[in-house]
Amino acid sequence: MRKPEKKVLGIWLLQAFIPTFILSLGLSWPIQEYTRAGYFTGFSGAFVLISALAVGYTVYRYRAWRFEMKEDHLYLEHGVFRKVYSMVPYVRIQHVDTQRDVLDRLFGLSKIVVYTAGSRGADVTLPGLLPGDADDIQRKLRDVAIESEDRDAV
Amino acid sequence: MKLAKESILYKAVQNVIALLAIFVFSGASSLQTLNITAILAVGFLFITTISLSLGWQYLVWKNYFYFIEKEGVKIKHGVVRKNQREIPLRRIQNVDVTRNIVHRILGIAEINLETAGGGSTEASLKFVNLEEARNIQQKVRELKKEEKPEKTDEAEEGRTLLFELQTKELGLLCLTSVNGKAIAGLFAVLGLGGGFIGSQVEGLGLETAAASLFLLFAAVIFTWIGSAVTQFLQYFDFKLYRIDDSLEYERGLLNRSEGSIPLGKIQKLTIEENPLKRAIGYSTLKIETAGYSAEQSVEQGPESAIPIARRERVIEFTHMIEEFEDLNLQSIPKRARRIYFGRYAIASTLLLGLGIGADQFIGFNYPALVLLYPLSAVAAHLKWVNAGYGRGDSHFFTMKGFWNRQTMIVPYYRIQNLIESQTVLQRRWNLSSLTLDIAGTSAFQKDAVAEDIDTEEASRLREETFNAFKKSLLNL
Repeated sequence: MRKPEKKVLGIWLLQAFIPTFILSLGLSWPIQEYTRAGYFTGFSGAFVLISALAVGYTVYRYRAWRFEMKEDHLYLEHGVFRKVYSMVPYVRIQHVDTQRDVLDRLFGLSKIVVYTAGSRGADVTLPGLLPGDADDIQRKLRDVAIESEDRDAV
Repeated sequence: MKLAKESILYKAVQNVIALLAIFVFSGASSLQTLNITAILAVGFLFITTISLSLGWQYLVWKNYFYFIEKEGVKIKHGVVRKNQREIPLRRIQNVDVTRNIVHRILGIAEINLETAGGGSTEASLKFVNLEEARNIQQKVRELKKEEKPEKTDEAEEGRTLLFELQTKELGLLCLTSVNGKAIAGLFAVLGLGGGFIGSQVEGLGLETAAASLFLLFAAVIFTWIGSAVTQFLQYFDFKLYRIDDSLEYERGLLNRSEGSIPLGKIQKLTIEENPLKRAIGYSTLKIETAGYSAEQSVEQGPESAIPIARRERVIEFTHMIEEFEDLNLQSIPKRARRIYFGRYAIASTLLLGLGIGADQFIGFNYPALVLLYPLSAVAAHLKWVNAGYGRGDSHFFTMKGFWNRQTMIVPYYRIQNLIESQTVLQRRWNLSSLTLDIAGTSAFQKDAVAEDIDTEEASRLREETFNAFKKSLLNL
C-alpha cells in the first residue's frame, strides 16, 4: 500500500483554511452574543475551535488515504465521513493525466488523475505524489492500460 | 448531400418568431398610440427581417453539405466561417429521427447522430426530408455492418415488430403514471395546512376541513391528469422493432420520435414500478446505452424500451436481450429496517418539536404530528422490503425504492469501477454499500447500488464481482 507524501498535509491544511475562516466569522456572532465577549475574542475562540477540528479532519484524511497498483486493478482507500474502497480495472482506463496546480507546485508535489468511461469514477485522483513518482506511475498505468486495450470499453 | 429546402423556410420563420417575441416584450408597450407611421414602420421592419432571414437561411442551406461514406459522416458547413466535421462510423451509436407537428406537416425531420461520451449530440442535421432521413438511418446501419465483417448476414433482414403498446396498456400507463411522491407531499403539506387553519378558525372547523379536503382532492387529480396527458402524448402509438442488432422505437402523438438502441452497447437494464403498477402487476423497462439520447438525455434518463406491460412479459423480454439466469434477489439485513425506522423517527421528533414550537406562536394542531411515528414504521418497512441485491453468473442485480422501485440488471463486463463505501452512520451498524459504476449518459443517472448490506458481505461481494468481471472479459 502506498500513501501520499506527508507534504500533502500542508496543501490540505491550506485548503481547509478558507472554510475554517468563513465558519469562524459566522460562529463569532452567536459566541459574543452569549458570552458578551468582544468581537475579536469571539472570533479567535471560534477560529481556534474550528481549526482544531480542521486539523483533526485533515490528519484523519491523510491516515485514511492509501492506494496500490495491484496485478489487474488500481485499488484506492480514502474518506473520513464516508469511507470508500474502490477498484479501477486497468482494462477500463481511458487515459491518465498528471496535474500540478499552484498549491502542488508550491509544495513540490503532483497528482495523477485516472479517467474511465464510468459516470462517477470519471476522475479518480491520486494526490500528494512527488513529481518523479507521479511520472512513473503515469507511465506504468499507461502501459498496463495499453496492454489490455483491445477490448471495447463501452 | 443537401438538407431539405423546406428547412430554409422553417428556420427563417423560427428566427422571425424569436425576433417578434423580443419585440412584443420589449417595445409593444410604447406603441400605445396607434398611428399609421408606427404600423408602417412595424410592417416594414417585419418584411425586412423576414427577407433578411430568408436570405441568410438560404446561404446557410447553400453552404451545408453532408456526406455519408465508408469512413464516417462528414459535415461541411458555414457561411462566413467554414467548418468541417468528421465522425468515424464506429463511434456513431444512434441515429435518432425527431419530428414535431410542424415538421410532419412539412414532411421534414431532424436527425441527430449520437456518439458515446461527450455531453451532447455530436451532430444534428436540421432538416432533411423524411425519406432522406430513413435513407440515412439505413445507410449508416449498413455501413456499420460492413465494418464488422465477422458478423455475416445471418441475422434476418428487415424489421420485426417486438412490442406494440395496446390501447389498454396506454390507458394503464396514463392511469398509473401518477407521481406518488408528489401526491404524498401534497397530502403532507395540505394536512399540515389543514391542521393550521383548523386551529386558527375554530368556529368554522367543519367547513374548513371540508374545504381543505376538497383542495387536496383537486390537487391530486390535477397532478394526476397532468402526468397522464404527458404520458399519453409521449407514448401514443409506441412501437418497438428489432432491426439486425438494434432495437428501434417510434412513439408520440404530436412529437413523433424515433430512435435506436444498439443491442451491442447495452450497459444496464432497469425495470421500474411505482406502487400502483406493482398492485396491478405491470412494469416499465428502460435500457441504458452508452450513447447520448437526443431529447431524453439528462432530465428523463434512459429511454423506455417498454413503457408498460405485464411484469412477466417484461422479464421475458429482458431475457431475450440479455442472457442471464433468474432474477434472484436477496434482501438486505433486518437491522437496516430498524435503522431506517430510527432515522424516520428522529426526523418525526424534530418535526414534532417544530410543531410544538410553532403552536406557541401561531397556533398549530401539533398532536396530529404524533401520527408520524406509526408512519415511520410503515415507511421503514416498505423501504426495507423493496431493497435487494443479487449476484448472478453473468449479471449483477440490485433493487431499490418504494415510490419508484428500480430493479437493475448489469452485465459484469460493463463494469467500469467498483466502489465499496461506508458512511459514518453505516459504520455504527456494520453496514456498507457496493456501487457498480458503468459507462453512462450523465452524472444524474442512478447507479446500480447494493445499499446497506453487511460490511463483510460487501467486501466479499466486491472481490467476487471483480473476479466475475475479469472472467466475463475472457468470454467476450
